Amino acid sequence: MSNDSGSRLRGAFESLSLGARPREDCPAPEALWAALHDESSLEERRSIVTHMSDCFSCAEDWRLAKAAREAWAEGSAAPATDLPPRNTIKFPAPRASPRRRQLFALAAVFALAVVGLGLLRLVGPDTSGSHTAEYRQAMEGVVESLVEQGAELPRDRCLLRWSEAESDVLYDVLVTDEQLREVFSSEALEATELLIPAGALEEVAEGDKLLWRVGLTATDGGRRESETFEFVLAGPVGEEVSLPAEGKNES
Amino acid sequence: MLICREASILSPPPGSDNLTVFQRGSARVDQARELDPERFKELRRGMEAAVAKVCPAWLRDRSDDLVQMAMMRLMAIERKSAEPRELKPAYLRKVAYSSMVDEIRRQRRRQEVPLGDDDPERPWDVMPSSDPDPEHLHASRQLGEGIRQCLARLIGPRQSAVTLYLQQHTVPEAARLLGWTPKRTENLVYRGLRDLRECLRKKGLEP
Repeated sequence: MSNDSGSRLRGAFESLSLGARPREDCPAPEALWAALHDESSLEERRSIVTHMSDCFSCAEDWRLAKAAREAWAEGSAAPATDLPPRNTIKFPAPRASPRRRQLFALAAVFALAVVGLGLLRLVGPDTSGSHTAEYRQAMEGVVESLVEQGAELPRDRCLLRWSEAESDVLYDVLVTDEQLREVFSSEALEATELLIPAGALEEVAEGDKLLWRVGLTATDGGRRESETFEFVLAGPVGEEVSLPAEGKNES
Repeated sequence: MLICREASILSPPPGSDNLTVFQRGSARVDQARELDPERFKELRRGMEAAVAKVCPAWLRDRSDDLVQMAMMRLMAIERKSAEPRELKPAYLRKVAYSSMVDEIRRQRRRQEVPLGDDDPERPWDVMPSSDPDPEHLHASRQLGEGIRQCLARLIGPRQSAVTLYLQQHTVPEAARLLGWTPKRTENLVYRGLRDLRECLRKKGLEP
């Protein structure tokens, strides 16, 4: 298959968006954005991709989101304004370093919170005065994990779920190993679940314990954090659809 | 102004200390809320940057409208807030994108010309042709129609893999989005494209 042929196919596919109308079953723009940014479940992402194969209005909306994400990842000061040229294939750049710095800062805050919580618990009931009570009250009950504490989660379906806190909140999730090194994080989630991409878990061994917590940005001001939850990484459960036994070069 | 027909955020008059958000037309002010001008300016600057990030070139001349529309969304959130809160750039971009796509969809729905019409004056066609050759464009759209039909016949995993290929995603990206291994994704793209091309050839189209 030549690149030229691939470009022709892609150009022709894009041309289907000319005059395409949105449908009643089109996912909300937020859902497209969330799927592209790993903020939705695997099932939702697959559903949106299937929808795009037959809805060329959404296919174009997806390309707009993709172009914006790539411009952001490239850290370009110029706006993500140009649609990819028809005859070129634009590969995404790695994440920009400012985001990495932000994530490390989040990890540091998380580490402080965990250490602080541990210290408060170590002090014990004899000193559990009003400050301790207030602190624990703030931490507990913000959201509850819907994943059993210490449960084994398969690396290819590592789905974190938590209770809904209130309306109009956005969730941040930070996952670390026991040394509080960041494994994965995601921001500004609207859904109360997050599927950790298997790729993010490549360096985590089976049987390792991982910690996670949810941060809430609420419309009533301020920011709150959940308790720290934990789970154990298990091996993959396997692929859902088996491949036909045909070779790659058979055509 | 295409976008801000239903609502408007007024700029503060010179010397004014506060801003008022209200619905134009109905002139309803019961939901109005006094906003700190500095807070508003800060949000506005953030949203302008967010819109600049998500706005494609062909929409650039409407970026002010898009900022206004996105600000309306933000104001709705702000009204519910007891106190100002930090709105991260990632969230602003999401709001900017959602506002933009909502407006694009509204305009697409208002188009009453039949599908396939190539009127170059339609402002909200999302992919203005970069190809001035009408014959080439026609051939491309014929091929596109063939792709639409053939893509629908692909089995599920191949269809998804090829759709992301046609959307210019790399294999690792497609693998991440679909939750497959890169190797499996590569195979599915390869086999899916082979099936797609065979189908197109049967229709007399040269992929």
